Amino acid sequence: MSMADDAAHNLLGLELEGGWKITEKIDKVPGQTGSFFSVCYKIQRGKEICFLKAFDFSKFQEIAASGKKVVDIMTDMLNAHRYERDLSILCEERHLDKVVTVREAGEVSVPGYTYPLVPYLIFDLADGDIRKRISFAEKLDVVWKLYSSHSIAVGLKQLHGINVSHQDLKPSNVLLFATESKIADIGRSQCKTMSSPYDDLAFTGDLNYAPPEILYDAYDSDWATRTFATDCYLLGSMIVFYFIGISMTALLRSHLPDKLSWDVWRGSFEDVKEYLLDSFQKSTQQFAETINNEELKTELSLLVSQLCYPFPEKRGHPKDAHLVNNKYSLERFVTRLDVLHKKVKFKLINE
Amino acid sequence: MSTIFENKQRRVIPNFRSLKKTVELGELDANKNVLDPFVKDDLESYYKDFSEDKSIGTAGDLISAAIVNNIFNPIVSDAAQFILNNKKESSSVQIQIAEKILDIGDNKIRPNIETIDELLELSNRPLIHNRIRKIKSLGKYFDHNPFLYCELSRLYSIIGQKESAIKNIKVAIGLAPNNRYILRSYARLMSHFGYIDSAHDILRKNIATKHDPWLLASEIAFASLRDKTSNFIKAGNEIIASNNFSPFSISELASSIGSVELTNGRRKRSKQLLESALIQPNDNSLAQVEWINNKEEFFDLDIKRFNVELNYEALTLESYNAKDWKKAIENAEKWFIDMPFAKRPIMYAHHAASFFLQDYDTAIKFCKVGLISNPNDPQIINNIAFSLAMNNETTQAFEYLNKINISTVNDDPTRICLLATSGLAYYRSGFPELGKRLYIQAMEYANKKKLPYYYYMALLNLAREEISIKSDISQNLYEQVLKINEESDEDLKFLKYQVKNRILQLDEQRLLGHKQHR
Repeated sequence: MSMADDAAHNLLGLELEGGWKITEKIDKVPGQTGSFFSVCYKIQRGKEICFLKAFDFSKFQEIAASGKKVVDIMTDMLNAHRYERDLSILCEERHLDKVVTVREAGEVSVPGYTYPLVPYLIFDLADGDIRKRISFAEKLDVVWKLYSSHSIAVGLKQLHGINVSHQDLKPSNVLLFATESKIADIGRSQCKTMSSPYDDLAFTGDLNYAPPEILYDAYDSDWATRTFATDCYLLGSMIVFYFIGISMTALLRSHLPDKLSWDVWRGSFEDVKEYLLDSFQKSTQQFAETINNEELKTELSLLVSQLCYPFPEKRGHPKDAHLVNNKYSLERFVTRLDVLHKKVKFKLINE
Repeated sequence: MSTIFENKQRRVIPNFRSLKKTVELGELDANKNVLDPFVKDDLESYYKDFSEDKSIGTAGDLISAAIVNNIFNPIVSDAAQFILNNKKESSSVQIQIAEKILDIGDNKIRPNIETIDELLELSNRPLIHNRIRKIKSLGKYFDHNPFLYCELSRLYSIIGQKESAIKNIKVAIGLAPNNRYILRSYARLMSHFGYIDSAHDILRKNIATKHDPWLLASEIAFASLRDKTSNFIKAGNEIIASNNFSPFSISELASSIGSVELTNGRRKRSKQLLESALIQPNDNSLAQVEWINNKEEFFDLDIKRFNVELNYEALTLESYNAKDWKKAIENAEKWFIDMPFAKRPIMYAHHAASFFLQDYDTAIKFCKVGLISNPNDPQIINNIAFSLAMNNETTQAFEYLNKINISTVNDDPTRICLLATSGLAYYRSGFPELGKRLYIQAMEYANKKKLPYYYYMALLNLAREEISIKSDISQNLYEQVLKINEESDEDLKFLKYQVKNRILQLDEQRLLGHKQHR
């Protein structure tokens, strides 16, 4: 089926319920890396411009060609759409202000197509993701980096508060709305109280940012331990990215001898742990050496080493290690990032 | 007289190299495959993001993903180049990584040392001390890191600081008691300092040993060094027969058990095992087979046929056995640079240079680098004194000899050599009577200890010195020289030939002088 035959690709010019007019088809929007098959548009209502994500159900035919049953594919697609919509509504209801949520959800029928019904979700249009903003030239940027880090830590904490693990926190999923940073793309997240299409997967995010236990296939079978430990790592990795522009997973790999790295090693995780710890410590040291101010260096490298510790059982704040249900609580990290941000902002620390 | 290195027995003692080098050699490879192959990302979305919006952020994102997947291609290089073109906007880590991807810049921690001359030069500078200081300063980031302590131990051993080396390796073993690299490094270090029991016990008692061919190989070697039969021979044979391990993983084990079987007189079994070891050997097992083969002639062995990295020991043995002394010295130099605390390459190189080539300057140089990591070793001290005395640098020879109290040396051959070398130094200093007395003392001691080889060597050395100062030799001494049965030993054969040749030359000169006189 070509795009010309596909309703989701032909929404330009249509008017939706609520007075939205579809004004521009866009290739891709930051933070919407295609959790499922989707087509993106800019929409306008008065002076307000938003972003629409249309679900392209006709894509099932392409997948069906690979041998999977049509019914199963349709079910998966519907579940994915429903999951992102319902989860987003839940976030909205619970006032998760550091998470990008759906403003409106609906369906539009486009007559003349084999599959005329196109479900959609409407989001605020971001200025871009943090990759666009990040720079290592300006010292003033440290204030913004700490503020943004704090915002996403709050966002993750908010998600954890409603038993949701994001699983896919990475630079392209942190969106900028003027001065605010928010976590986007909750479509790949996992929710303890809501059935998702990815419930059977150990990890639903981008493997390029995954923690080592996932890459070595040695994750915990307990849902909360596995997923919240992963989010902890991803938050630490984001802090690393803010300050050096490289992910923690990449740093780990760069310090691991090839033969012991996840892309080569076929032995057990247990046998590689000591070498992984060595690589982690070298990575933390490399990260710390880029920060000039001693207080900031000490604080941030400690934060990163607690959040990104390569073994999930030792990850997180040590004072929370004894907590049965909240071992990976982000509360203390949120507070520390907030304090650090304020110290730098009010020049209590001269960066 | 120079100390003859202990060439009687060689065991498959593990090497102690840096972690990086040991990993590269494959000695820390997994014993068994339990994980599915890693499925790499195609990085398409990262390429797209970078091509649509070239920024430091998207470049860093792409490079990160490329590193994670170990994928390097022209698009990744473009991103790296973008970072280097925008250095002011980039972080220092991004720049380092970009340079590494493009293979430019200098990220080397230290220059490569390729010759012992460079090593000698560098040993005068605080290079290794600086490295030690640097590692120590990283302590706050490397809490409970066994490899850090292990590396410290290795560095201390290179500069001969025994106590610090042992202290650090003990911390390492405490932190990673079952780690193959740490265990083998511990065992090697302890045996280097003479603590064979400790080296053996750590392996013998470890729970990981029974299931790990690399640890088994070392345990069996150390048991044999203690004249004990390892309790793990059966487990080792089972591992070899199981076909569950790669030929490379069991190579050291097969050569270790093969050596024991040979000692026990089971030549056929030994040959079988050594054949297994040769399927995919490492430098250690290859050196072991070369060493055995020189005596047993099991195989028609050509060391260069094996694609083994850092096989300098085997090459040294091969050229040594082929009496290619210059090549043996070259290979021993590479061997020592690879393992700068090892004593055996020093002993081989010294013997080849000093004894067979009379190249005393080279021999002295090897001893000097050997003394960096073995500052009080009586054998190396004896050897440097011997070569200095042979070079008529007797003041320096005595300076070295004075470092040792001969009466406290427990090893009989070394004691004999030190007595004889002192004799040589006196001869060369113009005190032949004192020199002769010391040579005779050495011979008497060798006789008492029933060490005929050392007796004959001292005798031949004495004869050589007598000839050199008197241009003559007493009839009694000459008869004793003639009685030496040199056939069994290459060194005796060589030295006896030299002495006899010198006597014949003198006889000819005398005869000629007599005729002219008439």
